[in-house]
Amino acid sequence: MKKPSKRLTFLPALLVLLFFFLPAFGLLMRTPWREFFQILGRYGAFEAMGVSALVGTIVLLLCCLFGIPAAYHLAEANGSGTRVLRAAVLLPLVMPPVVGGIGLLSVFGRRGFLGRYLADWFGVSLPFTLAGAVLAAFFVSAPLFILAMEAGFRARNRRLEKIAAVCGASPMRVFVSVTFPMVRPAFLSGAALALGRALGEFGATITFAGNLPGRTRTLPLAAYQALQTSPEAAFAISAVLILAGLALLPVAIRGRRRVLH
Amino acid sequence: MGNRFRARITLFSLLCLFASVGCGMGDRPRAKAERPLSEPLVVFAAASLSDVLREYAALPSTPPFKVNAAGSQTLASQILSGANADIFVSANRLQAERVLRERKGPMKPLFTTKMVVAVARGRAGEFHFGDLGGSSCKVVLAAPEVPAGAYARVVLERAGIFEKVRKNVVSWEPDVRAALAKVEFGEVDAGIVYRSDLRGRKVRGVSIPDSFNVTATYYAVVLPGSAGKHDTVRRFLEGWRSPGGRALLERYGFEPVGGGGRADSHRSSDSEAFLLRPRGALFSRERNVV
Repeated sequence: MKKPSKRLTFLPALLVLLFFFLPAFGLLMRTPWREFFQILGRYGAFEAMGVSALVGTIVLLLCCLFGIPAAYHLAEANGSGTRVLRAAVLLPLVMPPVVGGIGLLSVFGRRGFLGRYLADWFGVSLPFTLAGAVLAAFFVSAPLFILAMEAGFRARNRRLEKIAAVCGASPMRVFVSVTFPMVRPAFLSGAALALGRALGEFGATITFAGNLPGRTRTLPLAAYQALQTSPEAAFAISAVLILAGLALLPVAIRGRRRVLH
Repeated sequence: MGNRFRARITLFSLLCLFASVGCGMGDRPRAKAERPLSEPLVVFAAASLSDVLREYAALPSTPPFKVNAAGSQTLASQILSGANADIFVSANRLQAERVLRERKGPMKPLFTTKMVVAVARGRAGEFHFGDLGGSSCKVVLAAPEVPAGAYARVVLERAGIFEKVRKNVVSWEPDVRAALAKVEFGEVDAGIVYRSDLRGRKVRGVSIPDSFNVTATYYAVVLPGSAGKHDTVRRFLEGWRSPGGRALLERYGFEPVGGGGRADSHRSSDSEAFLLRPRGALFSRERNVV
């Protein structure tokens, strides 16, 4: 009785995997490889690559700075309020990015309830700046990092930490040489997923950070803009993003396998 | 192992079969001929027409239609990559002709409007057209390939302040309404939009001197897909000349084509010539913005 049911479920499984794979395949098929670099140059893709790389790097740094502590405490917490905290992490994932961007405007915009004071007191304005693009990308991608890290922290062997502590290691030392090596696969997988998502951020970015070449025009924005005049250029820019994604995949997969085992 | 592999092959070929059957069905011409007459027209319309079209649909003489609104350059790309539209209303000639290079169909000017500076309401003090280039003025414009962005550039170049204003631009938006929204949010100080965009919006309009302003003409392209809907297409296009249609246009600040705009014809052809420049030129200039 086991085999037929396996066969039945094989079709939807195959279909959905094919469905995930096809857009990347179709895109690489239609990419104008011959004039690839000329086209990228003509449509400002290198500039956008610079912005995207910068945004991605800063997002990763912020993930380490804020995401690791958040994931650690989520993994440790088991009080009644934990559910609310966990829901907060999931919120950006269930929120459409455009809505996230509008929400960020309502908070950090010139008339936003925090942005007003940022502008008045410190002269800081986040919308339409690189910092805004980073904030938008961090908003949508940090949850992926935190979720992966939380799972890693949960699955770790706490006894090793205790042993290290008993042997006289400082809490910092315990974290660096015992805890972190244990969650390293989760860290890599989370970082790869978050970076991929950050590089792909579109909706929140165009809403909150706008579209200015060299400052907030990231690769997805450049691809969208190119699509309006030259589909070829859009294919070329998209190919860059696909290749970046494919490069991140092995890291994400390796980390995930180690977390599961 | 071999058994499982064979099963996979079978399923895969089944899948291919399904896929090919699916494709075949969509292409049958039979489906087109049997379309009922009452089916609404599909109108791909420039983003700046969203509101006026909503009111136009409510006029008793207007045939039923559905609107897909976006920047004209986006709509043109959608049509060229196979989107089914009956009518394309473009905010400039360039995008209408871009579609016509690959699709046959009549093109017809529908109505015109002018450009205006939209200023955020909360902004204190007076605002003049020249202030767009002033220091610490945040400006948002439609991107250069968007009709409104191209018109704005003509206006600013005529006034000789394009380079200054370009330094003030904080975002190049994908359509004119996105630019307008950012002004309305109060996130930027000003933007250049169509006069007809201001109706019902919480922004201040600051007029552009006549000697710099341009006439923006909306063109309707009747697409081949509308074959068999001649009557409804005609009613949609002629309705703008009906008393109700004219009143509607006037309320929004559009002008019917051919009515009194003689003095502008020289200038408007001037701006068209600019818009018809190869788009590489638009891009290379715009990329220098940092």
